[in-house]
Amino acid sequence: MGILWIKFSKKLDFVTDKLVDVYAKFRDFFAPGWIDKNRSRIDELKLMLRAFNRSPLGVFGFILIVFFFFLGIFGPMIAPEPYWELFRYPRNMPPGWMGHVFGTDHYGRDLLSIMLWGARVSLVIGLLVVALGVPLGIILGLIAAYYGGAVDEIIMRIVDIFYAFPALMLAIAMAAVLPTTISSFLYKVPILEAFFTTLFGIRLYDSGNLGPMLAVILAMVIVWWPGYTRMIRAVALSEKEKVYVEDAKALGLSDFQIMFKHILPNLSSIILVMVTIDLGSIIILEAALSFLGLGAQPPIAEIGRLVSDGRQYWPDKWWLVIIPGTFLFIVGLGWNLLGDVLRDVLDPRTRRSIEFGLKERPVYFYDIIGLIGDLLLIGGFIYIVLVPVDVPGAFLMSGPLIIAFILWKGLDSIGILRKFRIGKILGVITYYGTYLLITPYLLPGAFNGFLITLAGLIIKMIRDELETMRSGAE
Amino acid sequence: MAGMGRYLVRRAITFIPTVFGVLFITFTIAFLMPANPARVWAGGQKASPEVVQRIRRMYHLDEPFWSQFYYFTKAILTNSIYSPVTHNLVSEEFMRRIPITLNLAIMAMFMIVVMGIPMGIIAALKKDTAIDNAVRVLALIGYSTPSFWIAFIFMWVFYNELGWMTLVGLPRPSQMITGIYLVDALLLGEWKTFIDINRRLLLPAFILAFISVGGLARYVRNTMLDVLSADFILFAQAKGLPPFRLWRHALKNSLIPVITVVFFMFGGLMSGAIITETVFGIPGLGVLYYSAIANLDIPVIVLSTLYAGLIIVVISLIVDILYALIDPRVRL
Repeated sequence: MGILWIKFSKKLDFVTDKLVDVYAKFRDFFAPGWIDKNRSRIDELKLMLRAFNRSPLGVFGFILIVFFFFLGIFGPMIAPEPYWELFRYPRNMPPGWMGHVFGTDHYGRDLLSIMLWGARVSLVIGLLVVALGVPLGIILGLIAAYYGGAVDEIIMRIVDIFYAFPALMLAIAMAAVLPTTISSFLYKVPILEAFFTTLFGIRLYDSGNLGPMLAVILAMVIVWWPGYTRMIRAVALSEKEKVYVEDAKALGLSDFQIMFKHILPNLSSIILVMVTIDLGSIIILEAALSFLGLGAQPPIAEIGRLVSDGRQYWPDKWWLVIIPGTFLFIVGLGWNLLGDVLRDVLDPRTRRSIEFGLKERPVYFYDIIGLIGDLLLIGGFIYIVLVPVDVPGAFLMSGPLIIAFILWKGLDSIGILRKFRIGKILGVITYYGTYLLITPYLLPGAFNGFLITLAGLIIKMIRDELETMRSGAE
Repeated sequence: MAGMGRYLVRRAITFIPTVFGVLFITFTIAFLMPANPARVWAGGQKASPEVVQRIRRMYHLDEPFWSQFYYFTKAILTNSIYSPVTHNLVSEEFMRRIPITLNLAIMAMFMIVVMGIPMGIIAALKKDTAIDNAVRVLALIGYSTPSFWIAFIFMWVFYNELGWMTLVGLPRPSQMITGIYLVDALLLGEWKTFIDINRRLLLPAFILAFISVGGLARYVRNTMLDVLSADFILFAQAKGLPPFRLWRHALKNSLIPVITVVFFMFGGLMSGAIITETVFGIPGLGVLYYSAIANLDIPVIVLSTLYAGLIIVVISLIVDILYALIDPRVRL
């Protein structure tokens, strides 16, 4: 799929270049002359985005995150039904029941609507934790690195103390004791109450739940900032030794200016990567806390709570656990993919290797065949999920496929076996064999999906053969 | 070894404030507890005012911060904090549960090390190939998997469908030697108990391992790549060392930081164990915590956090000392 992706991402380059131009014009509008002054910076930004476009995983992660933001911002508005109407339908109905795409939940509400309301809560909690925890961590880390000596020692000992606790335990303890304090504080400040209810997309009537929700946020901030302090300190220590800091000192700039105007911008790419990756973990940790019964209580929609309500019916009513869990997994995966690719793109060394590592070549016949194979592999899974509605089956099927791929690629990468193509054949045989083992646990219709993925696997084998033939001929 | 003695003294000096800080934070948590826990512990709205008063006096809830801190420290040192819900000594309760959680964490750690380090080494040696990418994707999937979700899927496959595991009971060996069930069963040679414990704990441990194994593999890969590009490897290469000997030299140097990371993972494993235990109903710390949250049993929550924190502080002290023994550069 490599070359096809390169061809496609050239199209994306136009889009990102346009975006950067629009951004530059925007800056220029407010500060005339900005474009002329920052020409090299604009080019750098364009190159960075082009390198990002070369990575299908990064673009995929980005799409997932945009989708998550869309759901988080507009979810409560497009949700067909309100979250507070309990027992409107029979409880725990399967997906597709009476036109409810995801069925109904433990409290007899439309599960799709609840997920949309819950997406807002997840998004807001994740962003608030970052907005509170990251600046705290950064400031303390910079101070520790810049001043050194006793200040450094004290800050780092405090960090060590927080590191001593298992993160989840500390968060649980905090989230368990804080709600009452926060609730009584909010009670005194009605404007904050109104602000947070709007932010979370809940009714003012449910504002009693704000205490527990904010407690969860504070608990996670307390768990999160030491990581940033440690990391920022480590990077800032080496940054501090550079010549520009000496120059700034000689010019008589204040410590504050040096730290936040000169050192901090040089750390921004590292912070961006860390925040991106951490947002995924924060959303999952938040779900874990609400799974344990902390945070908002029903009827407030929280994804972790949905799983915990649905677990008593597992595995008969699997959708109550699988659908919210998969949502969390996809969101986490999106943030992690994005962060991982950003790390490569923002680091100049790896970015060069991305830019120069890709070679232009014409599209060959086997590229098209490979694309068909990939589409069939994915199509088989989509078929199983959509036609016999066998989500557990799709999960079960992915096991054999992973084993087959490991055998195929793993044995293939050992030079001796390549001549005999044993790895590929073993891979396909294993896929078929393990499939036979799991057949009793699949719904009847899943067989067609299996045939589709098997066809995809074999077509990808043929593609590899064509590629070796081609490179042999050249 | 003159440096060693000075290092130990310095490490000990930083150890004491950390312990004190851990104590202080846990007390702050306890101090922040909900406005009227006494009423909850006395039996909710129906509780008579006298009983509530007595509980308030018993737990010194009306006194100022420092005075309460004094009583808290004293009670911990004399080991006399009882759970107001179950009326058990909290430390006893904790000691009863912790071997199970430690057992789970140690099993998971074993799996992580056995799978993660070879995976990382192979990924580093075969950089930018399909294997390297597979390790990368595995790490990303591990980071982004909610442990309760994957636990339910595995439970369904291996318990409901295949029946390879059990979900009730936890057999214990006839005698306690180390306190860790699995090790004791092995030492005593009680094979049936050993297999039964595995049937119960292997899957939860695997789920715990699954979440962190990719992360460790990535870390091993990165340190290995750093070492492989170091000057001494280049020199050894120029001397004509065969690749296998070369890798051995690289491995020795890259595994030292890995050891620290493995031990730091312990805190994360104990966190993950709470969720996994709750899902699988294993009577360890997780279930203790879960019921304590439900009953607003603050002493149990706070003290368990404290003890877990202390365990980790002591472990990291031991690791640092071992580290100084292995690697002379640390002592400087």
